[in-house]
Amino acid sequence: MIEDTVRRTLADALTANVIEAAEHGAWAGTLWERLEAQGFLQPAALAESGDLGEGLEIEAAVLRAAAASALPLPIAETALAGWFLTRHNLETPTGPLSIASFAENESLSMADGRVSGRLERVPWGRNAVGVVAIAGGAMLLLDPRAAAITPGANMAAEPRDTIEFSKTKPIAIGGAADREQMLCRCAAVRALQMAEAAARALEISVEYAGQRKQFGKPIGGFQAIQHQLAAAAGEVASARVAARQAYLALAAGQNVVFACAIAKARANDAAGTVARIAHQVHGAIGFTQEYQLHRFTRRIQSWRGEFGASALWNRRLGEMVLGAPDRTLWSIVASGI
Amino acid sequence: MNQPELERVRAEIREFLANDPSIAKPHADSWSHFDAAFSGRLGRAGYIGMTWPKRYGGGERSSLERYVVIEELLAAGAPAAAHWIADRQTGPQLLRFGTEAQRQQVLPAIARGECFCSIGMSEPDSGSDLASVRTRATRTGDGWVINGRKIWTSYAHQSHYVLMLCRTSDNPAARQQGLSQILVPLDTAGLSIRPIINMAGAHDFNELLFEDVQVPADALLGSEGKGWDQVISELAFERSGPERFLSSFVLLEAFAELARQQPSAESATLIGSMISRLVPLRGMSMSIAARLGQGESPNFEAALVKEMGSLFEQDIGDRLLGEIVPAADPTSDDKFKRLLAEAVLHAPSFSIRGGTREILRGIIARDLGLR
Repeated sequence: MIEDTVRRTLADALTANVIEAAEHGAWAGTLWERLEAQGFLQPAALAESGDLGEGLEIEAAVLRAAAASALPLPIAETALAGWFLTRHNLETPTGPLSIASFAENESLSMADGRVSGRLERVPWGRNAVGVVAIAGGAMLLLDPRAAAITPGANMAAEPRDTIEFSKTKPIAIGGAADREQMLCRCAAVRALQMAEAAARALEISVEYAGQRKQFGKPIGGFQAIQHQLAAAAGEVASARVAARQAYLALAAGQNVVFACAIAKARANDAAGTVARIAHQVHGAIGFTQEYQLHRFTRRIQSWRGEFGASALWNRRLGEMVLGAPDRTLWSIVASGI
Repeated sequence: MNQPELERVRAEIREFLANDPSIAKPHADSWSHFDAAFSGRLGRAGYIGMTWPKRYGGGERSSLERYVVIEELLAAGAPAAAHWIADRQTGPQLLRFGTEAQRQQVLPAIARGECFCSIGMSEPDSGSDLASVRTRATRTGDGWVINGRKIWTSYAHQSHYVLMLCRTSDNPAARQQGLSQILVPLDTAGLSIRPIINMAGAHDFNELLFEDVQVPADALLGSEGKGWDQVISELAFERSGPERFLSSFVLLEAFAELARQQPSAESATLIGSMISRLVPLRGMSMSIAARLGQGESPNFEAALVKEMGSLFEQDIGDRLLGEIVPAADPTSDDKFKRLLAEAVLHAPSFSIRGGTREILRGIIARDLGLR
């Protein structure tokens, strides 16, 4: 129901003008305020005081609707930042928030309560009122407006900014942070977004194949097209299940790394296949700026590398198996690790 | 069915398998390895016909409990072919469409692991186009006379019954009508069984020749002329189970054992890339099992599982052969080399049996609205 409400709101408010402006880097502030007023931001964090599983359900519903609309706003990042802040008993500021990439090589240093160093490819870093990161083993909320920002973007024109901190005083300092747990939480979110954006790319392709006529009939009537779209449907279905399994693992607090790693690796691989098939089915029109398909395929392709490419997660999964000599591979598949 | 109960079933079947002599030599594609003695032991332990009513020798267990058992059989590489078709397909069809006498006659023996069944669907000229079957059953005064040929009939030479799809009347405008299912004892006069050796060197397939084969009237299963609908109604059972993605799993397990002795980033990544495909597939398959248990027929989802699953189980052998291991040897005492050979040599059948990749993609496309 929440998903439908968000979808309806976005169908109404995400106009061609808003999309066009966002493609050129403009902040969709009016839309942001509307979503904020309707209470769609930070759902998991807000609900955490009550039922964790329910909060995650709400978060997933909102993010599915947003991804299926290619919403050009950092609501996933804001939900994540709110989740981390709440878990560390820190106050969540109002406004757009963002998060670090939590990559292995990313390091901020902290001395005398001040932070120095660089965060790379921070989503909407230029628009965020706070960025959640790790420094000195602790979780922090940093103010990007007190740092030097070098704008960047991903292939979907979503801001991905470099933020250089120099003896910056954090907005807030939380407790000890587990980098991998945070990365996993972010990976689950991206995996969910990717599954839904891929599902939308498939849906658009099926609609197009039913309308576009060549050789006297809709191209969807040709087996060559049908079989490609069937393969894409399998990829979408398994990416969705994997994302769902990751959310269930987060809610249960069990097998979190295992399930999140699977979800992101599966979404990454599915995204490549679905994007390729969606464009092939469309022919030249799908390759144009005026047609909507690329809003989804550019996102899923961009998101593959964020919060862990497949190589990272597959290797991590394999190392978990090889590092558990008392477990069979099968027992890990059946019961997790 | 809650998780602790399922895990208890899992622990029990694992203990059974750990103590069974057949597990000393696990097989890839183990559900095409026939071992009547193993199936007998399994049946006596209550692991065949698990979901059936007790009055037919069943266990009245849930579909998820059965699911746990069959996935454990596959993961262990247990030789499960003898009872597989009877447990998965023939038994449930008898339960659904059979008369009380037919059920009493066959189901308890299946559940004991003493009665094995084959599928009589494909013919020399009817493969994916199943509705074109020509083997004919003609009504006589007190029964049916069957003439025709069936092919790819696994283990007909070691089974007791073949459940046939026969033409019983003609309607060229609607080929799916006029088909009927008939249960034929494999020792019936006039029925000859010719072996077909597969490319792995095994005698699994047969060709069946029916020459005036006479069976009584009560050999008909369900309604005359409704054979197509009856066959279609159980496709979700046939296509969504764990045998559609676990056929080569023992090979991956054996590879993990080797990789633990000499860990490398390459082997870890390969294992991880397989797990990240397998776990979601298993999730899809288990959710279908739960829906089947509630009487639904999720044929589209089942087609997705089989299509994705066969690709997965084909890829295990393909990637290990291509990227990691140069030598596969079906005669080797080395478990890994033998399993690799079995998996690669059996792999072509994975995307053919039970509905070809092309048929499954067609079913998926229809659900997408393209057909």
